[in-house]
Amino acid sequence: MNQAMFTSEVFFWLSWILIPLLVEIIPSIGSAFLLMFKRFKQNKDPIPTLYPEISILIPVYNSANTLEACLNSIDKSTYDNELISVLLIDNGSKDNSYEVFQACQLKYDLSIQWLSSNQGKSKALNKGLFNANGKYIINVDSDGYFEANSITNMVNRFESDLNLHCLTGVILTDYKLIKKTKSFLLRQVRKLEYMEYCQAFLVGRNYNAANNSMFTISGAYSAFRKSTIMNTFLYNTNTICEDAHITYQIKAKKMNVGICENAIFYVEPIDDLNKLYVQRQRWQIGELEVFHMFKQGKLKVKNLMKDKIFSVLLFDHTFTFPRLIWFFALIALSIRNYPIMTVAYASFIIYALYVLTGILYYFSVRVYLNPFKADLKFYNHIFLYTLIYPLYNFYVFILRFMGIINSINRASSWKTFNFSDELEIMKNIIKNDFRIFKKSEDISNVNENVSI
Amino acid sequence: MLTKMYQYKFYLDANHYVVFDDKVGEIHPHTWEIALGIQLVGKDVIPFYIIEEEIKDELAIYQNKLLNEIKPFDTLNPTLENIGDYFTNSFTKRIANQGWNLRTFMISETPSRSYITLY
Repeated sequence: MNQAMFTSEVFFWLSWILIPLLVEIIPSIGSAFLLMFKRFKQNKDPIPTLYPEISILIPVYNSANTLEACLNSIDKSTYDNELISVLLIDNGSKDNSYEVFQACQLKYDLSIQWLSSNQGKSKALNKGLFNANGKYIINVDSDGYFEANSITNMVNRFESDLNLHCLTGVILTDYKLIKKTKSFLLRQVRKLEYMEYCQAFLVGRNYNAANNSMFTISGAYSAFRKSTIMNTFLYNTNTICEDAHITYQIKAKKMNVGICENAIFYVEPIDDLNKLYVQRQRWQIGELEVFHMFKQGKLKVKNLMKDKIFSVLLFDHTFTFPRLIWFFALIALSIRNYPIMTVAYASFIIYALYVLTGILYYFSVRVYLNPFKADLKFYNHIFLYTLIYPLYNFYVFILRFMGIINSINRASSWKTFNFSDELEIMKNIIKNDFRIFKKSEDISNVNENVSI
Repeated sequence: MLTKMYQYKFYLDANHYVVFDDKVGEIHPHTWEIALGIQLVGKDVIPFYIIEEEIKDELAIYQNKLLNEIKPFDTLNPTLENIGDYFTNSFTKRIANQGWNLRTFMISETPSRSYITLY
């Protein structure tokens, strides 16, 4: 082997293996151990002498099929029904959600009220906030249901730490529905999605919360002290990502956002791959949109990397940025006729390292799932999916990356959209996706707009 | 004498921007809550829907719009106070047409920030 080849070989391995190792794999090993350690150190939250009254806000939009299960889980929860007031805020349902509400009102010994609102989830939530009187306000989606101890655990956490102002719960997909899935392929995707939710909440957000760097609570299950949310401008009705927006507002007031990792809310697993495609892009676009709203006029490229919010955005559990670098490095190497076997070996090593960190994450999730025996059993059963999880993760990353591209496309029209505009925009964005990658003139347009 | 009143609540979702000391603020959205105290005159009962329709008709002009583009806020700075004063007048007339009295008016931008007018 001559000198030049040796140098290029060393350079190759350094850049190919070292970058992901340093920016992604080693930090993730660190965080996995940190989370396990945190769990062992953690004491059980003390039980308050007197439980407070709480309000549960549930925006309703064509929720006839899921609403009863949601209300039923509140009724069956370990939190005293007398201390719960449920506000259903309808924002334009066209199905028989109202009849379901009436039936539930008769059936359950629970205070349930119905309010009407303009269309849009955040508008509905704002109406709820005006009418919520509880010490704590819990917001959930109407298409999921609480784990029995979820509400009690959430209140225990708030009561035991007065410095916590806002908490996100943990969203998991319903393992019973995953098991029942008929299509083989869809069942695999749903198991991987379950693993993803576990990691996103019990590792990703959990780690962010430990570092005080969590910038999105989950809109599907979040909780606030009433005193905290009264200090904000309520939900922003101009964004599709109102949950991220309210978190930014709370962070901007130097108030603490955390995760209650033993408060679980179950949602339905993904319908199909198309749905996954739309959902993930929406999340990515929404996150960037909120980021843009808060950074308006102050954005400079040289300051970007110093910005905590920005780095969390890029380095969050999707690790968009580092992956991007060597995803393109892979393409560049192939074009430059690099020995294909070397590239293949390197990819294999990286993949193996991903699986390894995936397994570490798997075990740190496991210590948090421990109190939830049924979920734990299911989680044990999907252990081997850690072997293919990096592939799924990469697919999701591609979707999110397309979301970033699309948000650059719409950057000029950030301002005000109503719900139907929003739907129309989403439809067009998704229709245009493939065109962007095919047409070269479109690519050049994208490049012109990259300087955010 | 016992005064008998009804309270109604309405919500207005709209965007606005305000001008302070010649500085034009950013466009931003609000969900305003508007609470009206209406006094019964003469009759025993006010059917809820009559007042509701009156007020919702008026608010519909502004729902989901940018206030600064709609009369009178195209020339009147849409601060909480100006919005409150304008709607107080306009609702007073609408309610008077039905033969009842608007006695209290409260507009809130959050549950902890409100502006009130009283007769």
